[in-house]
Amino acid sequence: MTYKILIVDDSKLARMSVAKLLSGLRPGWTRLEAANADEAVKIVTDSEPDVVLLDFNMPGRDGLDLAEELHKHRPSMPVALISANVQVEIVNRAGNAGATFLPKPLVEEALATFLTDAERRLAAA
Amino acid sequence: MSRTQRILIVDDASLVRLYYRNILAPRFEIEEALNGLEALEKLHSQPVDLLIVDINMPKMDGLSFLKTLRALPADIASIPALVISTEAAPADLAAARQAGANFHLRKPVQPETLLRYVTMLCAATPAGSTP
Amino acid sequence: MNEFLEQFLIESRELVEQATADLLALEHAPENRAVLDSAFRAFHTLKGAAGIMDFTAMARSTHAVEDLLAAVRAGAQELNAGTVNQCLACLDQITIWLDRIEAEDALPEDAEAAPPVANEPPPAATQAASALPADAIEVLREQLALIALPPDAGFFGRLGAAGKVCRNVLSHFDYHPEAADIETALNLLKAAFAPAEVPPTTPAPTTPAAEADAASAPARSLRVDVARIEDIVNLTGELIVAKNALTHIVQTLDNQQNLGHDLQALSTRFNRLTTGLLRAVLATRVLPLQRVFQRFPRLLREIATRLDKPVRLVIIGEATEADKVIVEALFEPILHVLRNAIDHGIEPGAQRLAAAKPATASITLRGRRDGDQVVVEIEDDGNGIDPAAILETALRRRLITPDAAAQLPEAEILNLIFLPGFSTAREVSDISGRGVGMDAVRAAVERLGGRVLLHSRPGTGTTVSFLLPFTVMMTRVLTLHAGGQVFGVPLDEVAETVKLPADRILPVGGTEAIILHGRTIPFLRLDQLLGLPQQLGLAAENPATGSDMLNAAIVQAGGGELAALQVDRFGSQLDVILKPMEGLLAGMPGVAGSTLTGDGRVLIVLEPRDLLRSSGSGHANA
Repeated sequence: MTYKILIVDDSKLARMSVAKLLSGLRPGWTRLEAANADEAVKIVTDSEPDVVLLDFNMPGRDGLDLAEELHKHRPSMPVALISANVQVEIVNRAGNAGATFLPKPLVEEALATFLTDAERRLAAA
Repeated sequence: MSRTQRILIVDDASLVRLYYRNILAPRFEIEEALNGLEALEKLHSQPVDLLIVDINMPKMDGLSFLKTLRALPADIASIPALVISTEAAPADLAAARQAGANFHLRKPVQPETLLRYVTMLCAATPAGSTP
Repeated sequence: MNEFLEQFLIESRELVEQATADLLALEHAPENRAVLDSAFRAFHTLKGAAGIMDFTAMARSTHAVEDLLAAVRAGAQELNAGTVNQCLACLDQITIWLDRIEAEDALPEDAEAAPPVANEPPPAATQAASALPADAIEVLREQLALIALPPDAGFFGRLGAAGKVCRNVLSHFDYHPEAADIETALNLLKAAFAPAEVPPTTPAPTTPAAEADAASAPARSLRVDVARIEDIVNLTGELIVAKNALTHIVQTLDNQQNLGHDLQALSTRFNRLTTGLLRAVLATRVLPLQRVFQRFPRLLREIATRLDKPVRLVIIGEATEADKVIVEALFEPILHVLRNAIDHGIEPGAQRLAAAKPATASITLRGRRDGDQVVVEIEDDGNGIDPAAILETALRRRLITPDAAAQLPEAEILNLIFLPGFSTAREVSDISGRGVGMDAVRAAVERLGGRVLLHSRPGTGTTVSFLLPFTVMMTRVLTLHAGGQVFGVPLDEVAETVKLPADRILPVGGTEAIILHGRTIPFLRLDQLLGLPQQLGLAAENPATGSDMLNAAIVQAGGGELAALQVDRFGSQLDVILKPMEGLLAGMPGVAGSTLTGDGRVLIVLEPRDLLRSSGSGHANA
C-alpha cells in the first residue's frame, strides 16, 4: 500500500537526507516537502498527506506547535517529531499531540520502526 | 611519522648511566652527561625529548641544572625532566618540583618502573608538533 | 562533488554567516532574545548538518557551542565578549573545514575540533580511550602542582614542560583530542616566546665616539619586571580550579564512568589559562617609549654643539607603551630624522633671529597612543621643507624626469624625499651620514607595520610622524582564496571588499583598471601576482559568485593610492600572531609573515603594498 508522506524541515540538506532514507525504506511512497510550518499547513490542506515527519527546530512556528495544530485537524494522522534535544516537557507535549519522537540524526532503524507503526495505524483507521 | 625519542641521562655515576641505557636503549636514543654543566652544553647543540636527572653531581647538581634550564629564554627550557635520586623525603620532592622537575622517582628504580614512566612522559609526539 | 556535500557546503556557509551576524549583534545587545534564539538555532542546525554528513569533529564543536548558548538562554551563563569569541572561534574553524572540503571534495579525515567551549561528553564509540591508570593520574596531578608554583624565573619553562608532559600522557592513553588541545596551547606559548628578533637596522655610519657610545645595541634577552608577573599570578586562580577537578577525579576513580569528559574540561581550562597567560606575556613584551627616547637628549646635545646650532629637546609622552620590538627598532629612524632636523631643518642663528624665532631651536619628540596605534612625532621649529629645493635636488639626482616633475602635484613633492638615492644634504655631511636616507627610515618603519607621514609648514617647521601598531604580535587578518590557495591579508590594508561585474574592468595600456568611487585604480589579479595557476579569461563565470561577478579586495598600494586585487573568494577574519618569515623566505617581498591557524596549518599573510611595489604594478614611491 503506498502512502503520501510530507517532510518538513527548514534545512534542505536534512530533507535530502530523510528523502534518501525513505527511498530505501518505502520506494513506492510519494514524497512531499515543506521548508516551514506555513508551507506545511498549506500542503496538508491541499494534498492531504498520510504521514508527516516534522523537524522540531524551525524558525517561526516550531515543529511542536505544528504537530499540535496538525493534531487538531487530523487527529489520526501519524506524525513524527525529529529532534536532537530531548527534554521532558517537550516529550510530554509531543505525546499529547499524538506525535512520536525520533532522535536526530535520523537513523534507518528508528525511521523504519515509525513507518511500520504508521502503516499499521493507517490500515486500522 | 614520529621519530625515535631522545633521552639525555644526567648522572655522574657511570654504572647508573649504563643501567638506564640498558633498559631504555632498544626503544630510545640515549645521550649522556656527567653533570649539569655538561648537560646544558649538550642541550644547546641538540635538544632531547626527555631528561633523566640525578641530584648529587659535581660542578653543577641536578637542581641547579634544572633551575638554570627552566629559566632560559629558549625552547630547551621546557624539556620534560624526570628526577631520579636517592632522596625522597617530602622536602626533597618539593625541592625537585620547585626546580622544575616534572616527576620524581626514588633510587634504586626497577626496570619496569623506569620504562613505564619514561614511556608516559615522552609518549610519541605527533609529527610536526613541539618536540 | 556529490549533491549532499554540495548542499552541506551551501547551507553551512549560510548558517555560519547567519550565526556570525547574530553573534555580533548580540555583543551589542545581549538582551535581545530573538537574536539569541536565532544564533542558537543556527548552531543547532549546523550540528544537525554535521550529523547528517557524519562529520564528527564539527558535530562536537557545534554541540559545545549549542550547549553554551543554551546556558545563556537559561540565564546560567553570561553573554560577554569572551563567550562571543568562543562561538566565533567555532565558526572560524568550521569555515576552515568548509574551505578544505570544497578544495578537496571530501570531508577532512584528520579534522580535530577546536577546544570545546563547554563541558561536553565525548561521542560514545568514536575514541578508543583507555581508562587512565593511577600512575598516569599521579603524573598529571604533579604537572598541575608544577604549574601552580609561585612564579619566578623558571615559570615559563615549567609551564611548557608541564604542558608537554600532559600532552604526552594524554596522547599515550589515546586521549588524542585533549592532547591536541594542549598542543595548540603549546604552539601559542612557543610563538610568544620566540626570541624577539630585532629587525635588521640600517648600518650605523662612522660617526664621532659620543654617538657610537649612545647607540649601544639593544638587549637581546627579555628581562621581565617581577611586578609584571604579578598579573600572571592572578591566573593561578584558574589553576586551583583545575587542580580541584583533577583531585575529584582521583577520589572517584572507581566510579568514574566518563573520565574523558573531565579530562576534556581540564584541557579546556589549560587552554584558557595559556590564552590568558599569553595576553599577560604580551604585556611583558611592552616597554615605555622612554626606553628609546632617553637615549636622545645627550646625543642631541653633542650634535647641536658640533654644528653650533643651539637646540633643546622636548620629550612628551615617554610613558606611552609599545611592543618591545618596536621600541628598540625606533632608535635608528628617530636618530636619522633628528639629525636631519638639526642639520637641514633648523636655520642658522642669524636667520632665526631675522624670523623672530628664539635663538635656541626646539625639537619635540612626542609619543602618544591613538586607538590601537602608537604615534611618534619629531617636530622642529625650523624652516620647514622647501618644495622647490626638493624638486631641484630630485631633478639634479635624476630621480625624476623634468616632465614628471612638471606634472607632479604639490602635495607629492615632499614625498620625493623618500626616494632611494635622495640625500637632503648639499654635501654629504658626516652627521647625516652617507647612504642613509629617508627611504631607509620609511623602510624601517614599514617593516614594523607602520607608516611615515611628513608635514611641513614653510618657515615654521617640519613634523615627521611614525604611525606604528601597538603590538607586532596580534594582527586582524582577512583570509582570501586565490589560485586555489588560501592567504591572509591584514585587515588594515584592505580598504573595502567589492563584488563587481566583469564588464567594469577597463583596459588601460597593457594593464587593467576600474573606476571606484570616482577614482581610477589599477585592477590586478592576485593569482597572477603570486604566480599561481589562473582561471582562463577574466570574464569566465566565477564559481564563487555564480555569475560574471568578480570578487576584489581594494587594498592600500602605497603612497596613499589604492589598487584592486581580484580574488576567488573571501574567507573569515581572524586575529593572528604574525611571525615574520625566517631563513630563505625572510627577504621575500609581498609577505608580511605567517601564522598558525586554529587547525594547525600555516597561513601566509601577504603585504599588498610590498607585493604591488615589487611587481611594479603599484604606484611608484612618490
